[in-house]
Amino acid sequence: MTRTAGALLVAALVLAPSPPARAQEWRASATAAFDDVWKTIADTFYDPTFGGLDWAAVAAELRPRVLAAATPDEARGVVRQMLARLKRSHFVLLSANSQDALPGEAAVPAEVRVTPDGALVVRVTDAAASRAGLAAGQLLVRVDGRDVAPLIAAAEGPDDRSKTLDAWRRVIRVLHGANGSTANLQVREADGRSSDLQIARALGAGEMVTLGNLPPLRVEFESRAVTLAGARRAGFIRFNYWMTSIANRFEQAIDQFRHDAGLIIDMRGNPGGLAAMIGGIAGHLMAEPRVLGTMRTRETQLTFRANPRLVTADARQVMPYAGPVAILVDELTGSTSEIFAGALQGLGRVRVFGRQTMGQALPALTKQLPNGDVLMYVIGDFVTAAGKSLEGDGVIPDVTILLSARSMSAGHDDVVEAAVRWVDSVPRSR
Amino acid sequence: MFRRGARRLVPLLSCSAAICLLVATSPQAAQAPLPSARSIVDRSIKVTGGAEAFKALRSIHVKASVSIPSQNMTGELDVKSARPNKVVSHGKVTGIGDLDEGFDGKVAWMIDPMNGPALVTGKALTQRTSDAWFDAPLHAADYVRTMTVLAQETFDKRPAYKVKVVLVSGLEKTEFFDVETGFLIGIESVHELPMGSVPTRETFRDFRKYGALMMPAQQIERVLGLEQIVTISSYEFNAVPNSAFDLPPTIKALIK
Repeated sequence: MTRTAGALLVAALVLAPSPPARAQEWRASATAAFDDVWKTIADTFYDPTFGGLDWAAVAAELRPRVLAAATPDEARGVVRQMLARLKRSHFVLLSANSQDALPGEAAVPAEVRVTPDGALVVRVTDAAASRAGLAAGQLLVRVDGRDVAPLIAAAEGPDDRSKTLDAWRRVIRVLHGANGSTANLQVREADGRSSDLQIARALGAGEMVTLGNLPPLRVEFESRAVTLAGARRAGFIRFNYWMTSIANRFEQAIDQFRHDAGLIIDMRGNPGGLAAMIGGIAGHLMAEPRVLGTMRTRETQLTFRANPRLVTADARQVMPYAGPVAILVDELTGSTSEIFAGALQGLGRVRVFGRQTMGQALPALTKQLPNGDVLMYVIGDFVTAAGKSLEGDGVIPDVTILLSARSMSAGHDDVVEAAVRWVDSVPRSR
Repeated sequence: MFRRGARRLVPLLSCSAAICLLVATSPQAAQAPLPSARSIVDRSIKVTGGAEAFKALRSIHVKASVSIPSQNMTGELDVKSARPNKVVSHGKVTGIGDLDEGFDGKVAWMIDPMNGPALVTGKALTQRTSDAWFDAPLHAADYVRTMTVLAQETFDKRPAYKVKVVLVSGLEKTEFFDVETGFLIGIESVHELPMGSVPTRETFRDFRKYGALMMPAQQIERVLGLEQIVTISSYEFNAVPNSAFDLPPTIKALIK
């Protein structure tokens, strides 16, 4: 699959814990897991030179540390060191038993982004939480008595974007807990006032999807009409994962908006999913089977093309949506979402609004390891038809819009509004 | 004859990527003279039940379970095929959904929730046309252009004759025939998919009697670095109606 942004899955991992193992057992399985990780990558990494890294030497150096590890988490730390040496996204060790696992499957029902000012609520996803006072534009100051600022300050990473992602992950962790538990939040409004809120943690909306080794995902899909000037209308579509459960609903939404003045696809916070879906979704927007990009693996090269959607599920002949398309992205837009946005941007089919994406756009698979952990590992790189690799830089929006707590507090979504203005400005004849 | 149905989940595997072709082959020392390719194939046909038994078939319906253990994915597979070159398959994979594809002798198509309905063209169409050839196991002149025995090697821990097969279509594959049992136990090829060319290794195990034929009850396919295991639950012969190969409405609409 091609599949899902590893960093976010670390935060989302909710697996049933297994019974604790005796020391000899965990060390043997941890060593077997280390060996399995090393060999899997040796066999499948798309670059047989490992970017100049001596992969055998890495094993020789780190394997003794696994053997000497005092705890399972220490052994996991060694595996993560090994993965980090590759300096690529999507090499992730997922563990339900480690200290990294989330403290519960429910969370404060809000989307949060880390900004220079702190952890900012950008969307509240539950009406009860809204009624309890939680709102976009608020900065999280304390969660259950724990200051948020030190969490952010402790973030680690080789660069600012990585640190921001790590900070977000730490904030998300403290927002999680048991379903129905109350989170005591101290928030600061855009005008500087502070408030204390009691917010019930919830499981979130959306259809629960289980795919292979991935943790269960709550897949959300939203579509609605947006009114433009002159009684014109645009379609708005948002989904949070690339899973096949959204495919029919996306098609129905396109059918609803097929003759509208514009289309806005919101991929902010969408960490990816099944990469194989980009051809089918792009085909709703393109009448020709244009190349979106190529994936190079150790043994072959696969081409991703748009599959023009010329018939509906009920066999009506149609044309793909031909009007202007805006794609909304942000720092938590990753993997398949980046590939999709970057590919269509490179072809000139869409205009991208928002903020630079994650830059974690390598196709990856998962596998279960001997100790029960799951390895996400890269098996290819991806280059758009325009020749651009999205790993690292990600997608740079055509129109960059920074987060504004004040604007959000006033009820605005600056990114959506910029996209609407652009759609509205495109002549009808397009 | 079995493998015609078992490749149908290759599009699923192509969701993601990489190939790790672990070919367990090693040259044998001091080999006896190799038999001819024709005699190896004829023996395979004979141990499978014989050409006459196979020619008596008009259609095959295979039901199987499918798993990709490393990905913790499972599914079901239902494949119907008929003379001369018709095939239709339906797969259902947990977390993905329904995967359908077929070839009615002229049109190759696929429908899945990732891409929607699509016609198969180019090299992938050539591949589908070749895969659908019902009499492929007979290796007759209308299907095979040349056959060459390359060596005796070990395949799937069994001594095997390695035979290069060039098809009339121009496609090539390497087949492995068990030296002791005579069965076709493996195929290596570069499979032409809509996304590109993918090295593929198929292994056939656990031959059992189904009707008049000996067929593998298990196929292991290694493609894109993943291993897919197909376990047969039933074979049914001469019970597929012609209507099974009718094009789905969405595909008919695509070719109007």
